Amino acid sequence: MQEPKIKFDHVTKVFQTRSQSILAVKDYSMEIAAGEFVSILGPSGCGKSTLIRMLDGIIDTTEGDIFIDGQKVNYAKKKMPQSILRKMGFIFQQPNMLPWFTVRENIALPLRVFDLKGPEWEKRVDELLELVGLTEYAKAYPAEISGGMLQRAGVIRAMVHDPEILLMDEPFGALDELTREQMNMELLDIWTRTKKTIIFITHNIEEAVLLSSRVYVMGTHPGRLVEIVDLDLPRPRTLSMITQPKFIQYREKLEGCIGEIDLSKIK
Amino acid sequence: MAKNEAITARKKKEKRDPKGIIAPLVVLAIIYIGLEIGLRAFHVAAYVMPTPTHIIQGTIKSFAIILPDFLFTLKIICIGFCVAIPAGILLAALFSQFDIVVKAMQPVVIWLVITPMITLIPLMTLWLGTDPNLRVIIVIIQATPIICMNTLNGFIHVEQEKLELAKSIGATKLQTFVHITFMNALPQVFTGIKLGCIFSTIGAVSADFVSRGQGLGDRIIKFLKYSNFEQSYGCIILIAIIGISLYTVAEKIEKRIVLWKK
Amino acid sequence: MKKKNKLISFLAPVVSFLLIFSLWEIACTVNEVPTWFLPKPTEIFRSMVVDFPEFWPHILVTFEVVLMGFLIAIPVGLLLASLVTSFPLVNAALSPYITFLVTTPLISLIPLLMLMMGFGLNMRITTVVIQSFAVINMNACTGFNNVPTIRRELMQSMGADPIKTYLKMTLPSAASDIFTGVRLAAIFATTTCISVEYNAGNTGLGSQIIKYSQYLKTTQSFACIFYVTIIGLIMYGLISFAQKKIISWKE
Repeated sequence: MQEPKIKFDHVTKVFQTRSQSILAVKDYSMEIAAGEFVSILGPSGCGKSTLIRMLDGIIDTTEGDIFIDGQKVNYAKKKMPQSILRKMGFIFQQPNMLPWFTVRENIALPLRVFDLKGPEWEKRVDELLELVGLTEYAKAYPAEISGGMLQRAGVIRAMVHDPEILLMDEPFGALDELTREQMNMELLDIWTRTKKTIIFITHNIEEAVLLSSRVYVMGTHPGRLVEIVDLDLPRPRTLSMITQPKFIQYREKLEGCIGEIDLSKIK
Repeated sequence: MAKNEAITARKKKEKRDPKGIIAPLVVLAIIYIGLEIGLRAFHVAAYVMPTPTHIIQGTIKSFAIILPDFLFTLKIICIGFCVAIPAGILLAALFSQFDIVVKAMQPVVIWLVITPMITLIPLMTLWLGTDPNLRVIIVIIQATPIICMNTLNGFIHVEQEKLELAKSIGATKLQTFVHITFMNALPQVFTGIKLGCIFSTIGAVSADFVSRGQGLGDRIIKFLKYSNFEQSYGCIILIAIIGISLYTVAEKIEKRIVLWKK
Repeated sequence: MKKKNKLISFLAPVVSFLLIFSLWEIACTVNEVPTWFLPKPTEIFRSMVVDFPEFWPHILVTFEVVLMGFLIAIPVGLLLASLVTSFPLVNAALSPYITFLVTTPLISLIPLLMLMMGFGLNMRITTVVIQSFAVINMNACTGFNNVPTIRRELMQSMGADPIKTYLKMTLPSAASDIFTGVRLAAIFATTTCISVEYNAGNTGLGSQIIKYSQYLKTTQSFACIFYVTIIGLIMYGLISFAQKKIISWKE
């Protein structure tokens, strides 16, 4: 079998606060192949954000290992090297633009941090701005443009250093329904063209079914993997698919998984 | 109920933080021992800095002399500060009632904050005589403007939505002010009060320096005249203790009242 | 409409200042208050102009001390705050002392500093620095400690080194808090400078205020006080200008 792009091997994360230790993620394993689009679905507080933060070196793991391209990437208590971080782009729940930089400067920030110089990179910034229709707002400050535009900027900032993997932490959760649908379609378009590996975190079942090839369902207390659901839906996906029986079937199945989690929590 | 829970939760959080208590104590011990050893090892002259032990010993020995001055300065600062708080808040409340008054008075308040009111100390004697108790006035006029400025800032920056909410439930002008404008401004009010506390101590010590005769500021100079450096430092530490105590009380009250601030 | 608002914002304070000074003037005239007790504003303004040559050297001394002390206090306060907040343990260990430094009226050190350093500029500037750096330090610490986690994570996700993180993210995040501290430091600097001049020697506006009031030359005393205000206003104006230039963004 081909080596997985990303592999979580029995990963556990315990947060140590002053008074107690909180088990955020328990014994989590998954394998994702290159170019896959997978979703991690779960209620808030199930540790799904913790997962990709561990993958992206923002927080360390307590137990277990994480591999990218077969290379172990989690160094306990040590910063992840930039060579590995460069393979990933992180898209936050909020746009997380730095308000003192213009839109363009914000998008070019990873280039400055990763020390990527040269006209080809600058050209890439302009191309990405063009791709999401932000060219005329390049010189604007974040406070001057709308939430939808900011989130688009957040997406292309994560792509500007040409990473192989995109990590998306409920990226469109703060947007209104219409903008969110549009962004989802744009994202699928980007994925089809670039074939990046995408881990998409969401608590929205419809979104998960619409976008991904596979859904990892997580439960709370402790955060753990409950179910893996493969989605056998044709691509390219369109919004009209939402009403198809197969789509509804998957949705109901996932709703069932989530429902059980809620029950178990009450117990 | 929920409020009580929040308070206890906060208390627990404070108690749970051993690093926040132990680390500063360790630092204190290091400073103390370091000074003690360093000052002796390098034979630092007492007029530059006496050893901490000598300061404590000297201060205790002369405590009977220092005590009246300590009580005097404490009185001046406390009374002045306690008058300045309601004065500053009341003035801000008055100004904030009309937009035009805010516009007219805000620069005046800033002007009063920028001008060190201690410049008036020499003239105070001229106007009011030499009674040391009049130094309270210096403390009041030094501390009131900064409290007023911060409070006014809080009063005029209320979110429009909150005011609209008050309107939608038919709140009277007084209700709106008490429940929305004032509550909303509380964090800034406390910022002003804490700054006012610092200004109060500065005002009181400056007044002692100029008018002399009584107070810890005066006592520092008197001790220095007779080369009693340990006692001088002791007086400075006592002033510091007054300052930090007032500040801490203000901060504690703030934490009790402004529960919604992180 | 907007223009009208701007006009009102400009006129209202002018009117209130005029009102204050006219009331003062009228009260003095009607009650025949002796000049040595409380001079009329017009007399004060006249003295500010007429006696200017006499004041000028002292204005320069005061302004130099305030400005120098202030300019040294900013980097000292900022540097200390950056160091303290960079290490969690140091932060926990030193944070009570940062408040302690701010709340202690360090002007109480003036007599001792005079003994050690004399009456000169060095001593004055030193006093101004130690009284005003603390408030910059405290506010900068608040700013550095309140940087949103999500911004830290952004820099971490790119593996940014400490210097890049500091310059591109931490410092601008704390900028408005730092300016709050700087503004307060300017006020502390003028107040401290006057307090020093009360005690040390016979140069500087503070010493002149005392001298004139001893000779019952209250008009000149007030003229000096107004010049102190002008120094304060210049500082305040410079800081506001710098803030507008530096913080050109909205949060």
